[in-house]
Amino acid sequence: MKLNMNQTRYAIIALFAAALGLLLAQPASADELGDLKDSFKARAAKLLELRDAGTVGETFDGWAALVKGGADKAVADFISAENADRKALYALIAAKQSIAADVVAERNAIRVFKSAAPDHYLKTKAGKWVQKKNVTIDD
Amino acid sequence: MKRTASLLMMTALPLLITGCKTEHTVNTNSVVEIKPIEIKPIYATIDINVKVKVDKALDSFFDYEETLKPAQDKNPGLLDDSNKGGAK
Repeated sequence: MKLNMNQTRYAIIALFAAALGLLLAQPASADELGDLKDSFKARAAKLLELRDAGTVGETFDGWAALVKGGADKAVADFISAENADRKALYALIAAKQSIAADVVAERNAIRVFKSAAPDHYLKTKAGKWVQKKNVTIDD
Repeated sequence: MKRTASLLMMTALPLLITGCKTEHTVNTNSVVEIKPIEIKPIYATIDINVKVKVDKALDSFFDYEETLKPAQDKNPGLLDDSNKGGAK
């Protein structure tokens, strides 16, 4: 197949556009991770405080959750924001590794379980809240 | 005479043709056994690699937590990987 002058020109432009797209796509992902990290960092101290108080716990599948019902709106909003960011983070890492986001979430649950304080609450697969000091973790 | 001969020919010809025909039937029965491909070890390898990569990515992302964490994780016995039958 022989390309004429115009076709060659268009092909070169298309190639440049694709290369530019690839170049721009990489930092976007890194930026997204950076923004997410800032967002997590901003909540980290409060999250720890809520965990220490036994208000918020961690589920076996990688989400923050209210341990006892009837929390005020601020706590509920806090948990929603935390989980929204986690969802985005799990999706980003999963896409990078070409795996399901659930796998990343589960790995994060294990990470969080491991680093939890003895009094922190963890929700088992059976749906039961237990304190870390009373549970073993199967990696 | 001619008539008799032609009648004889007409009767004999089909008989000769069918009599000369040979038919061979060979019955073959082949059983091709396909052994299942062993893929388990491959999956296991990928699984471990993915686990390691994901854990690394998460550890790197949440590296700031180290500064927040109080000296809380002093009970490694509970976290032993061989300690099965846990919360998960």
